[in-house]
Amino acid sequence: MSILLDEKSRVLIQGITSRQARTHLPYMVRYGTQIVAGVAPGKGGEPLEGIPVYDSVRSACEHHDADISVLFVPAPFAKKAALEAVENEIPLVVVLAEGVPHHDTAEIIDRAGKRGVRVIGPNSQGMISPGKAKLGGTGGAEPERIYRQGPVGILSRSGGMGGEIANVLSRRGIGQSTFISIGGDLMIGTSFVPLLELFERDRETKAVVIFGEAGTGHEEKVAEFVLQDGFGKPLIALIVGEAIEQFPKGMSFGHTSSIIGRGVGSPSRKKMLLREAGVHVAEGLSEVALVVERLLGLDSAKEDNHV
Amino acid sequence: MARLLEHHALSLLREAEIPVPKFEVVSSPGGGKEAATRLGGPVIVKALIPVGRRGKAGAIKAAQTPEEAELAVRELLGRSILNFPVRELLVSEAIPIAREFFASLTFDSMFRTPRLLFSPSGGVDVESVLAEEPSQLIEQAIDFEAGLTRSQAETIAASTGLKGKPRKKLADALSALYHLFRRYDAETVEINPLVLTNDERAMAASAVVVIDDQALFRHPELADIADPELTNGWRPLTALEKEMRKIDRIDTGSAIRFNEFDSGDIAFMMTGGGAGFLALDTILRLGGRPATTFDITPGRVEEKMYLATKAILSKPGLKGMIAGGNITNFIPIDIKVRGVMRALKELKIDPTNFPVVFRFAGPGEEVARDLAAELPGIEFYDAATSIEDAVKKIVELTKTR
Repeated sequence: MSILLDEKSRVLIQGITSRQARTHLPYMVRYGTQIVAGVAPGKGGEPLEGIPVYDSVRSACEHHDADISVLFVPAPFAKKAALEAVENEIPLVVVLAEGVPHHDTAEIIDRAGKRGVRVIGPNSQGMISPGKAKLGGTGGAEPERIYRQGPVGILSRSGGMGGEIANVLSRRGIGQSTFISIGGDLMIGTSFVPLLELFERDRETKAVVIFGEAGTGHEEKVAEFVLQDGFGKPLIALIVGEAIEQFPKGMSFGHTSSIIGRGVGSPSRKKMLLREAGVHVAEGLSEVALVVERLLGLDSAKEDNHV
Repeated sequence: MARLLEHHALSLLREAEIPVPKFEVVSSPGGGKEAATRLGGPVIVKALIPVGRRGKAGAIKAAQTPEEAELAVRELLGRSILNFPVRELLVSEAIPIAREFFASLTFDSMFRTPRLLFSPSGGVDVESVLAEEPSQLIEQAIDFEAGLTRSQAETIAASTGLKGKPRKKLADALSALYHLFRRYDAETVEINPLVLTNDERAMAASAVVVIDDQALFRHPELADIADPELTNGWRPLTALEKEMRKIDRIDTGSAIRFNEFDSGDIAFMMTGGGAGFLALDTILRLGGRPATTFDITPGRVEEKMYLATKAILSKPGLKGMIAGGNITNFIPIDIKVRGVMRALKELKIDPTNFPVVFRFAGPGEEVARDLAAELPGIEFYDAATSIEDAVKKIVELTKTR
């Protein structure tokens, strides 16, 4: 199994005629993603790569059932597109765009919450359930270079670092169940905790790695969740950004979320709280792989093989 | 983020029908005296710099007479306060204060809704209220669809114990502040202090407005006052940072984010929101001294990498450079490498003397490797080597120099 996405998920693509969508589309299809339809306002009617294209989400939904909508829509138009998906109650909406205005994100999240729609992103790179399906740019043209099917779930505030984590795991022969790039923006639709709950119920997932950064209270919430409810599987965290604690407040880096303020967000505090909750905090990428290996009992198996 | 200078913030508030003191902007001591004369009565003189905590830093002075105002301007003008040079000053009428409050609106990353923070003790910064009297702080979550309702605004106003007209005026100001927050795509709006005057008016004695620069595309009316280049968050942009913004503008499809450090001897161009942080943590842990941070999103990357590398390597005192980032999905890495190589060759860099480490992984790796091989001495790493190990290498190579 996997979470949120597999080979049976029916996917709608909004902004299907954009350059970005045209680049990624063939690779998503080739990997096994079931794309049922595309939406491009004013360009409906003409199929693209054999996929029917509609003018609106509404008309696409009249002809197809979709479990997921992926938005290949630039930031200034992301709100309109996302709200269209929400109004049509597509259960999962993935917003890839970087630079969506804060007020737009807040509105998307508000409306989605009221309609029971789950939002991933904005500023998500997408997701992949290795061997089954992928959304967005994740994995590129050759996902098998980095991802392989297996027991580890990955959640990351950075798309690139999710790939790096999968890479170190795969190189040691450890595959992944699902990787979700949750987004690097100040406000995102779905944070770690609800996804950890899904991973906990997923039989294929035996351990989860989360990648966190400076800013927001997402990692603090994980610590609180693990402490209160417990988490029945090994949980490993890699938290970066301690460096910025040495720099003047206000300095800005890549992600809009990486601002420390109002008592939350400092990486050293996040690490401390996670450790106190019993989460395994790794000090680097190579340690992530070693800890996962140890917690899954794969290290002794390897040694046995050598003997 | 684009933080407005205070006179622009006050103008927006006035437009939103929140009463503000009469004010003028001056750039000379004589101008200060004239402004104070026109305003009549005691005035406050404030340095116009895009940063908070000005009071503690000595950037705000009270003046009873036009002569005192002239003196205050003379003292502040040309000084550097909180890293910013003082070129202009705000002279505003001193308002008779009966009570002062604090009000701010901002987004909360966890609740993902606007939050109104209100404190009955204004005049101090919110961090001190949080540290000393957190129970005093009222935090109101605001439903995005409904906005700040009249009854919420009135409940908060009532919590101060005020009654009748002043209470209504305070609630009016809070409602107007919320409208301003929404209308201008603000990240933060803050009134501190929000003053109840002796004649029962609610007045913004001082205001902060920070606009979400990602939404500036739909606010042409703010083009002249919302300047993301006013500050890099805590000090003015350095010459190199300004140069980098200029380079960034050659293509609006991709974005460069760049910081320059005063010290540091390693040109540091490890990109990626998360990977950049991991690399930065690693280099500092190993005792390396980065001279820059650099991030770039997809677009006309080759030209930007070329110009950016050239600009960064013009910084004096560098001992080496590291460039790269996380494994890319689609962006062919040879495009980035081509840009960097063009700059290295043009500057006649000899990597056997000036260590250069690359950690590029993703499509186009073979081409990238061949390109890098054109200059002997470049250490090229791919996905088989972690970001941390690549960083370690540049620290080792530069340590002995």
